[in-house]
Amino acid sequence: MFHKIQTSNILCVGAGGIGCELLKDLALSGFRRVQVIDLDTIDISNLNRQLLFRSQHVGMPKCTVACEVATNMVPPLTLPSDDGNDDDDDEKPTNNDNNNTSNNLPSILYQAHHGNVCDTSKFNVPFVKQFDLVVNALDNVEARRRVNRLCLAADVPLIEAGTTGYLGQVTVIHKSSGVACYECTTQETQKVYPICTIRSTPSMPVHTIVWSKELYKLLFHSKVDDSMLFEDPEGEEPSTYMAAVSNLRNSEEDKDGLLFSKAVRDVLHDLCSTEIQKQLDMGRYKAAKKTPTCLDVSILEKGMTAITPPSSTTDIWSLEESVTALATCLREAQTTPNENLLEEFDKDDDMAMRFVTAASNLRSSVFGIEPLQSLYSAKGIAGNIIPAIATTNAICAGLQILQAFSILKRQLMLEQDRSSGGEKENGDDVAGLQLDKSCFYVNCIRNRTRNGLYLTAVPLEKPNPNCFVCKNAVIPLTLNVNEWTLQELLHRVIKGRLGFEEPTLMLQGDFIWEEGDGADEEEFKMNLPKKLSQLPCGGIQHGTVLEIDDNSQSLNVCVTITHKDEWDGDEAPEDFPFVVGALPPKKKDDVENKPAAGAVAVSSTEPTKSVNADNNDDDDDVVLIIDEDEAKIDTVENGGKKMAAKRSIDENADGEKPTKKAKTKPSKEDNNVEVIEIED
Amino acid sequence: MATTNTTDATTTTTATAATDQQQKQQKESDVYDRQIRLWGAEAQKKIQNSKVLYLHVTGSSSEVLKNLCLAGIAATICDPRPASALDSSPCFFTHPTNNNSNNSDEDQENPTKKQKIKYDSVAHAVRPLVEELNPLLGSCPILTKDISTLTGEDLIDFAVVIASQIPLEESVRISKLVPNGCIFYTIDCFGMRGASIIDLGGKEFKYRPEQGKKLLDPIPIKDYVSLPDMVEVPLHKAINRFHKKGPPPTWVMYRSLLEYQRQTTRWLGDGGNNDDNAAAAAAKKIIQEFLKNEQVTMTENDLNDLITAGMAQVAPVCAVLGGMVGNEIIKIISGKGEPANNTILLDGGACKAWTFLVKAKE
Ligand SMILES: [Zn+2]
Repeated sequence: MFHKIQTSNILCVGAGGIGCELLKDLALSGFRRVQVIDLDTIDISNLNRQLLFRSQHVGMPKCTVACEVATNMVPPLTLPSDDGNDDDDDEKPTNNDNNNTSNNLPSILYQAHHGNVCDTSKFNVPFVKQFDLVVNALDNVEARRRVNRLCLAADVPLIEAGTTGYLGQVTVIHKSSGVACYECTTQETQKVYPICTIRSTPSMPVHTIVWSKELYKLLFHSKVDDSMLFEDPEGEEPSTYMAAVSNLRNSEEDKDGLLFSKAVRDVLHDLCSTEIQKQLDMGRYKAAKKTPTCLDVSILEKGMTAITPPSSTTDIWSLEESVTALATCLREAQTTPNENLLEEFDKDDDMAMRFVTAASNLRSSVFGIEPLQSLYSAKGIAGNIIPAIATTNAICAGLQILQAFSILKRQLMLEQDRSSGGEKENGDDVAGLQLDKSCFYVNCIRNRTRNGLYLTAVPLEKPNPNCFVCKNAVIPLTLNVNEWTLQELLHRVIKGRLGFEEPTLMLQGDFIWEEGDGADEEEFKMNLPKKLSQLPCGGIQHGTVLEIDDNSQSLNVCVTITHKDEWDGDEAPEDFPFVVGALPPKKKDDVENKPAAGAVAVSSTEPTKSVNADNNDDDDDVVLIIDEDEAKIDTVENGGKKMAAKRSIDENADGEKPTKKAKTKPSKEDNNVEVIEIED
Repeated sequence: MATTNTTDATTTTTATAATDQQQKQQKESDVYDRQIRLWGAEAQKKIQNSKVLYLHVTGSSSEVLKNLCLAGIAATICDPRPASALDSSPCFFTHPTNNNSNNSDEDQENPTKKQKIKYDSVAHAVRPLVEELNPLLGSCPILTKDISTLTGEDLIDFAVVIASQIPLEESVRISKLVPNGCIFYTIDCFGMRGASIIDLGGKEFKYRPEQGKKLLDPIPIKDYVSLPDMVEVPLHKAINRFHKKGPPPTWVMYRSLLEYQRQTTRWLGDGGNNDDNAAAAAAKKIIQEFLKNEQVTMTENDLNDLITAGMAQVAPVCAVLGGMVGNEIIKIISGKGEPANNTILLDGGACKAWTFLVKAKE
């Protein structure tokens, strides 16, 4: 077995919190062939848990440093034979052991790939096929989906893990073992905020923070119309604040700063007062629960005349202080050379962070949104920062390697079976790795279960028959075929929600779209702006079956279209779960209420587990913002809620047969079910 | 808008001192940001004001050491064993030795000085790496004493004392020496399993239970059994309603290994005698005798695994148990959440871990 460990080929995707722990465990366990993919560079906030990095490494690529440090942790081949005696055995024989030389061990090689795992030219199915197994240490759904699909296509076992704060999960995915894949449960993807919520009807702190980031862009971005708050000054409806905005953007340095102060004041006044009054006059908030109130002019004046901006990062600034803070930021920006001024918000930029904290609190107060945020907590929301600690990462990475041992053991047994040519007694027994029998879905929890468990292990889930990724299930999609264009369908649903990289679209065997290597994109470009129902080959209508093919991830699925004319408020096609194994909510109640004949207990088939607890690292998620009026898509960095649904587990402490409870109604006291919400 | 460029010489020095302090605080809040967002600034302050004493640095305790140092809890090390004791454990606090023998000419051209350095003890060998791991903690003190000569005075500064691979009678002795309010922990990994013994110091130990995000008022721990009392509990009586037939196998194994050490004064598997048939048979006999006295059984498979692996430490097993113990110690220091009481048991093969209360069932 140790020889198998030494000679196996491992791919580790991610070199962050979990990745560092994985590499340490791999090295200390004696693995010699490991490749690492990571895109990130080292940040100071990584140092509290990413044990391979030191402050002198800040700014360097994670994978390179991690590989270098891990290589040095691989234990020498021969251990000193005399224990307890450290005299004069510096000249340790490292290669004189007969076993080692005859074993032909590969040299130690921890190879770094500084890049994005979604790069199809480099990391594709043939690349993945060279590994005995893949361990994931990722922090986002997109990359996880990508690795999931590559491993399924290559039929290489994938050990997946995720942590959020104290909580973590580990699971194993393997196509031919007949176990669930990452996408068998719906994954929380990017949080979506409708543009009108941001622009006129915010109700949560996160909404005002998104607004403030847009305001930052409106004031500092070289292309003013990149901001979601931009209003065309030549538009039909005169804008209340664009005149003041362009005045401020164009203001020159004046001697006593009075003109500049006035420009700042005007912008704040127009945004927090004039614009609000206009909306009130239009009757926009008649039906709303809360009516906004314009910012008190005296607060604005006092804030503008104060000189000292607030400095605390943990106290909540008063409204006056917020005005002063904003004015100070704008003055700083004016004296900063353009090339040093960030065009877009970055949570790690001090000025940008003060700007957003102050602006969002002013706006929150206007809309009566609570609580107001300190700079520290605003940073958590604005940067979508997920708390992370070394301990949980260490536990999950350790569990991943333990599962890796199980997998390698099975692989070794298969190899030995094959080489001895010995079929098992009943020939059909020699089937594959059967990881469903040797691996587990493991949950790491903070508060013990009733019977004392901190780590719970249950058999791997069966695949979800409705999974389009591993079960090739048909995807139902409901939308308005007369309004959606092919462009929107491609970006919002096919690439956005379904995670295709280079899709080819076919209607009744004819191509309507093709991209990727060797594709003739020019030929199909003309289809992009067409409404779905107007596409060639009969177009996409109610009941049409659309075929999607993606060679880059060996995926081929069919989508059945349901046309729907009427849409409620914020509802959008891509918000519908495409891959839920669960019965729709109504039906589920039916099942529960109906006394099933002969069945003792109806266990919910709903897969409630998931490994979507995002592993710590950063942040700055790109979030979709939909403008439902113009059907235009904008991307904005944003913070949102992340949920990690935990599966309720109750089993005999002695590890006898696990009895899975129907987990439809977790009681509040039941600490087996943990749902974590990141503050918002 | 620079307005404050006029500071005179007298104020500069105090100002620099203040900025140094500020800079350190800024660096601390940058480095610890992701965990402060988890447990709050107040808990972080408690953490940074606490010290932990490590009695022996092994594969398993080095994991705790790493986790707690990264979190900001300063370490003191007491490990007078020869530095070579580290060679046989999967501990990343080891200096890069010349293990890439098969390839590089570079190695021959620049024979690294590092590998020539001789350390007096494990503690000395580990110290520079601990200091490098989290420079914010400053220097890492060494307690240059033999474990058996430690007195209560030596333990006075610490919130937690963590022992690994020390004889059971030493654990009993030290757990009685620790001052009020100090917690005593053992951590050991053996093959695919690992175990910790916990002495929370007394029945007056209090913690604040968590209910969702809410932190409730402090309450005392429900059952307290001191370490000396708990190791006196016969194994067949260490049962509860979830473990009716006997204690979890991992507890029985840990006790068996400690018993083997007590009788032979060496750890099972030390010196690489695992493959020696005679030694294995002798070990088996000792353990079987012990099990008989304690009126518990162990499957033949478990017994064989136990003897084959002995105290051999497996890196990922150490990582999992070390992570769990790290979490528990943070709970204890921050006062948040119900801590494990009075053992933590890990079965790495099954990927399961429990806290199990060892208490005589009447
Ligand atoms: Zn699937």
